[in-house]
Amino acid sequence: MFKQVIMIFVLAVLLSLGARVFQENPVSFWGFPEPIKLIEPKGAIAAPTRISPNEAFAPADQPYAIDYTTTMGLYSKRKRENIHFIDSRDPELYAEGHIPGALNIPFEELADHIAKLNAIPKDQIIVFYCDGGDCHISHDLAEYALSNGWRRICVYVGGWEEWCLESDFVAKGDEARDGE
Amino acid sequence: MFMQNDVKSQIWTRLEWVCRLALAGLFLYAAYPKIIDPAEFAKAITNYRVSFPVIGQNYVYAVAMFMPSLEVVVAIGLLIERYKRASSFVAMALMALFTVLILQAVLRGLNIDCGCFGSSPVAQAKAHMVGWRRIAEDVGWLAAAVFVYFRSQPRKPAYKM
Repeated sequence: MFKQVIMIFVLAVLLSLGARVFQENPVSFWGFPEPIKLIEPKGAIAAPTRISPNEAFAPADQPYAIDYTTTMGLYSKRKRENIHFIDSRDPELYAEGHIPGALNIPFEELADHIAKLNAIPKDQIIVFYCDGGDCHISHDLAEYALSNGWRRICVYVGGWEEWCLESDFVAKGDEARDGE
Repeated sequence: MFMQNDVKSQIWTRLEWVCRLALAGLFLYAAYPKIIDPAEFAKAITNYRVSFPVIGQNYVYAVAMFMPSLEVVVAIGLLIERYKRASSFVAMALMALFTVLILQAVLRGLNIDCGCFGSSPVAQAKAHMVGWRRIAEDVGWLAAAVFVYFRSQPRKPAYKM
């Protein structure tokens, strides 16, 4: 039997080499894909005297990495400047607590919630967040949004873990309320 | 008595075929998107954040290139009587590996797409997030592979001439 197992592996190696001929994006033999690169905004926007969000987040081909202070700055200006917050965690976690006004577009059920994202004009700023720390689904959603035409994309790197420690602005329930 | 044994044997044989067909279908279904776009699959593997001393995560591209092909060969092998034992052995090993990988991701609290059926460049279909449900599914498939493997053991002759 072990001869056959070795044969299976040899055939698989040959097939994987042969498949490279037909693949549009064959991968190299060694290495791993770099995670999507986040870039820094052009300036701090937390204080009212600093530059406006639209200046700080000029259209770009990469998402902006933002910290708590910048996220708070965007949060305080979200209504005036049409800034959208998107929580990419599971609906259960969202219902337990989220940034007030954030829409829930769970990565797990994106196909069902895509209309919410499509309703956002492509020139407006969107802030994606998930748990923070090891959570990468906000990066994945940001990458999706970039590939579909939105250009002012931010990823709040600290995510919910940081926000609920630092901020008093927390909403509960399964729907985003505009008055929050 | 003989009739009863005969019916039992037929049922087991049919069940074995169901498991072989289901496993083969699963592997082919899983392999197709990954073999077409290994770069996307590589991203899904990277998300598991499994890193080894010295090589780190540099194994990812090699696995992304090789794994879908292995799944195809195993799927075909499961359908060929002569190769079903070796194929079910590799299928067992693969299912055990996938289960352990997903389990460590769940225990580490990673909220990631499992990449089982290629990466989910979102919008298309529902993503397959890692979780206890996915672990239970993988254990079920592992059980099917174990069943096929033990059914494929060479039979000892019932009596000697």
